Amino acid sequence: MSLQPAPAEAADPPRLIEARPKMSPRKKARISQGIQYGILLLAIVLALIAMDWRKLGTEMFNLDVIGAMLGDLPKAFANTLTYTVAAFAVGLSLGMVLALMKMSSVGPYRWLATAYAEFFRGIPALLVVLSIGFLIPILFGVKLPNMTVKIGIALGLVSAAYVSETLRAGLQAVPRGQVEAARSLGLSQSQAMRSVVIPQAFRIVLPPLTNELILVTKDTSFVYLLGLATSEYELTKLGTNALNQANGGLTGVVVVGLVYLIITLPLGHLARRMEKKNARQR
Amino acid sequence: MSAKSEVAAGQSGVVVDIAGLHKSFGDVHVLKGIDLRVQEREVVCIIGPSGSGKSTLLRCVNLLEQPSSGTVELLGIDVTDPDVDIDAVRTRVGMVFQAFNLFPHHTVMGNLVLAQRKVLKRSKAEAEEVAWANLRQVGLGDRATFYPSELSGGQQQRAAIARALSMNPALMLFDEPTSALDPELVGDVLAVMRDLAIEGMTMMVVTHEMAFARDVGDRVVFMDDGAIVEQGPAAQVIGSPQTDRARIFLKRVLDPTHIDDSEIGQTEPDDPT
Repeated sequence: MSLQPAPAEAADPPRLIEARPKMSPRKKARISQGIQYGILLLAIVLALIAMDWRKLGTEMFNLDVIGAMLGDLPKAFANTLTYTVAAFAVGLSLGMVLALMKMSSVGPYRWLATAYAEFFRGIPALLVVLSIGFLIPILFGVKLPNMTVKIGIALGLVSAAYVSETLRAGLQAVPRGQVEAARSLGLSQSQAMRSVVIPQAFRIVLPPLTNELILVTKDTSFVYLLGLATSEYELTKLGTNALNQANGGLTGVVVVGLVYLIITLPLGHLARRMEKKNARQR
Repeated sequence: MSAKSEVAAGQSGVVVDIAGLHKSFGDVHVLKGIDLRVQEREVVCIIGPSGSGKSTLLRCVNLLEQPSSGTVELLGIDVTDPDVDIDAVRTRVGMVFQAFNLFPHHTVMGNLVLAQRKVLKRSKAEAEEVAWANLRQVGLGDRATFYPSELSGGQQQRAAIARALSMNPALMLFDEPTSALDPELVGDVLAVMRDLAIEGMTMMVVTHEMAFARDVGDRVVFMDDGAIVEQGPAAQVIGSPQTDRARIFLKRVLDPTHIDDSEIGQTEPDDPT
């Protein structure tokens, strides 16, 4: 049996790929992008038309309210910073202890650290602030000296739960070969930790830690729950108090919101710069 | 009794003495009774298929892995004895890794100086002087201020060798030092190792570079399945292996394009075909 030659093709040779459909994928993508721009533009135009511009001035940027707030603003700004530093200091040191506990070879330490983190990540920070502020003094008969200590402990306890997880991940992200190289040069376990692992872990955890610092900054607003003397006002309390002024609208909130951004935006910027600077050292 | 004086006292000709060494990871028995001696100034190349336990053996020598049983004597000191200060012994044993493991947050100079300062307590000036000498020896005299990420793989590995040499080791361990390198960079690293061997460094080298093992090695040890199957003078083991397992392994490594169809997948002489 011999192979038959293939029958002659009809006039058009068959095309392997339908290479010129009416709507190519790239054309579709272009049209889709155009629609997205259109929707954005439409939303902006509608907002501009619908907005009451005169009201915007009196309700959100009321100069009288701003003027009345200015005197107390520096103190409130300083208080927010103080509370933040206190809480983050507690969170960072306790978080470091918890991170080391999590990596301990002693089982109960690991379980304790894990239970701690699960507990404090699972309940609202607001409840912790209330408990520390009211429950601890009643239960233990101790009087916490001032607001900085109260909020520092309360937010620090919460923050430590997140920080410990970040630090543990950072320490474990340093490749095992780094420790092996250090140990085979004769460095002890703790020397290897200090000279090789921690400096590298620090670079890894810097961005998430900055993130945590920003969160703590915002959470200091919870102090209002504990009842504040005027000298203890921080930004949120100052802003919400200003809401009570007649005709001021939301101006107080807008002002302190902007001040929060003055604190938090540079932090994020700083973290990104340090990250870039460290890029060639990893 | 300080471990350091012991280290100095142990120069009796035998640098490494491994006896009855076993190592298991969980249920996996990786080393099944290794006996191996390395004399001063000797270069021992360890070859064999992957998973045969070569690297584990090397890592047991400076206790990066804890042996399950058996003894490892370095310079006359039994390092498996828990009372021995292993850090002091390790300062005399240089190790070079497949993945280089340079410290990325230090410059090349920083890498070479770190352990000299922290462990040997050398002054900054002395440590740098030693570092410069070793950098020049490996051909990196112009790279001291570079970070590891700014070097090629071959340069990184030579820097790692210089780092180990800066501790003035009595023994150098090489764990597949060229396996992670681009082919054109392998030669530089091997040349540095060859020069070290010529200068009389005692070396244990796990490698797949058969030409290096044959030309530079004094002795070649062929390992398979956690045991030493064959060992002898380098030219003999590589040129005319006595065991079937070594013969099959060497043929596959030396002449990989001429495997018969009937031999595909057959790495053990008693494999069903």
